[in-house]
Amino acid sequence: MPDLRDPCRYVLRRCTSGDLPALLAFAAASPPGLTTLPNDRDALARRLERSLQSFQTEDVSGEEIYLFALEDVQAGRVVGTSGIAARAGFSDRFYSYRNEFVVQRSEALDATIRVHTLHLCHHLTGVTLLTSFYVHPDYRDTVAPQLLSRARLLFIQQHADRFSDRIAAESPGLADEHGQCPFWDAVGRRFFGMDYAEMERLAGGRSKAFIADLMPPSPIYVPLLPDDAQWAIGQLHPESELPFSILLDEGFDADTYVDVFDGGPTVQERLAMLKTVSRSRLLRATPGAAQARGPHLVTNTGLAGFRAIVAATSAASEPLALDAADLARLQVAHGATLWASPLDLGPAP
Amino acid sequence: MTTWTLRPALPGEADAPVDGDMAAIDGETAWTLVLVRDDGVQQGLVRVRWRIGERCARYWYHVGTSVRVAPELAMHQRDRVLTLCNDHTGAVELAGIALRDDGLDADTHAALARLLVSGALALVREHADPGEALRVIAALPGVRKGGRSTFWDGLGGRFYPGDPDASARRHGPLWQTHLAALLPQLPVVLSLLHPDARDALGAVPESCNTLRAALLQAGFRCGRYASIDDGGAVFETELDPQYVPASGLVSRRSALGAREIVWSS
Repeated sequence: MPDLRDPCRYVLRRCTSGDLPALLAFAAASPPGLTTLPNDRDALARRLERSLQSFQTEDVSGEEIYLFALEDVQAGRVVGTSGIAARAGFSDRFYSYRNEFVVQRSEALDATIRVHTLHLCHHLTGVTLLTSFYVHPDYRDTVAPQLLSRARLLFIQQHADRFSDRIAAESPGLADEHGQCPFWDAVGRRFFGMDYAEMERLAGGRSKAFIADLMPPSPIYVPLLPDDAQWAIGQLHPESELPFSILLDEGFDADTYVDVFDGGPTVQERLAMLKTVSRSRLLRATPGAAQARGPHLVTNTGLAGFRAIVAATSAASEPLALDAADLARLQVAHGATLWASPLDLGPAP
Repeated sequence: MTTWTLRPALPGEADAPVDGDMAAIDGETAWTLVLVRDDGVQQGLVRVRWRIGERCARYWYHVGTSVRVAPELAMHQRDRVLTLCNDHTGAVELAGIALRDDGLDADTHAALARLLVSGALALVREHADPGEALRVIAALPGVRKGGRSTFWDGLGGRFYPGDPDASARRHGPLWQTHLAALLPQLPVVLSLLHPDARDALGAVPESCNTLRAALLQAGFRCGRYASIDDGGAVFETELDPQYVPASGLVSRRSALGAREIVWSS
């Protein structure tokens, strides 16, 4: 029985064209609305091609997307994926609802109310988006989700000229097994008269900005919505609790924005404020075993050759001592400079 | 033959209003007209409030339209939008219009409704400056189901937990002014309200159909404004200086020196 908890099994790298079957399987395995991976071979192939070009190009426009594959090298299979969209909305607008609260009072009626409102906004347009997270269910309780989610932050940090200094991530909102979404039913459906899944199909993987153009520009007064829709605002789809918990642990703010369609939380924060980035150090590598070792996220400094692993080491002082096998997984030689950040592997969420 | 007279309320009569409404806001000019049968029974009432909202802000919902287009989808979205407004500030209000049925036949009931409206307008004309363009409004109560206003339950009740009827009795015409401080200050898209609340907007209860017809016949129109508590229809018109009283009405000076209007059946 293989020990899937062994961190030495895993390496995160950019997706290649050979990963298409695995990505297709991930997209097919995800319930509707739970992944930004299109469940369509041609669309996925196009996205993969865009990602490959993004890793190669020096001429960045903000339209780039970067897809990563997490490989179980011992099993010889890809077990998860994650991605980055360089600029949310790119040349179009990226819509969110911003949570606001207004306090109103009537002296004569001796009544004070605190009203929750949702304001349609474009504040997150242009920020870098974390996307496409998926990990095979067998690997949920391993370091795989940590590596998939957090290594992206170190990639962004070392290629900062390609990204915004502000990072956001959308998380799927509350929906049942049939894709029925209470927030959509109370808000979106009133304006489009169709199911959320139908709307997703209509969007066809394109930016949803043109759909949001049909949403009313005036704020939504939350007390006017049915109770189940009010409750769904900022609530997660149960399937997204794991990646969301990692984002919260990083220090993302989850209280300010929600998705305009399903009401799921959209987290955001300055890159430099995130735990993995703020604790990371650029260190020269040396073969060997560090004293007082602990789990660390370690990445090389490559672009197309980017690789990330979880290794037992210490980033407290230079050099960064790594096993020869770790250096091999990172495809670097003795003396290479690497980013390392301590990884808190607490109890599984 | 029965004769009805619309005349200014005598001292004491206005203290027992038909609709539980207070006569006027402090400092505002107001008159109360009562419709009295020749045997002394009070059949109806209308209050005329002059230049409302100038001493204390008054609020209504303006019912507008918002259209948005998504060319890529070849779709457009048209919504009715409620916006809290003070549009009728300075207008004259025919308030608390009430007419008892008392088993009257439909024609008589309709004629008395016309008498209430036209009599009130005659009073307005009498007090208007010559050539002055005055807006006149009249709000009818909103519809209720099982004694509750579905519009209130779908909108105002989400922002004020108190009893609207008790508050209205307590604060009179200022109730809606106080309520407005708690209601959404930015436009509300009607399609976000519960369907029952949407249906109630601007609807006239069956019991007020005669008054509605009288207002429309007198040149009022509706559909653009609603009351902010029960969503009742707000009728509006511009004062017509060339207005001719309906046939069968006789206007005369009463012994009290005020104008009174008489109609006989």
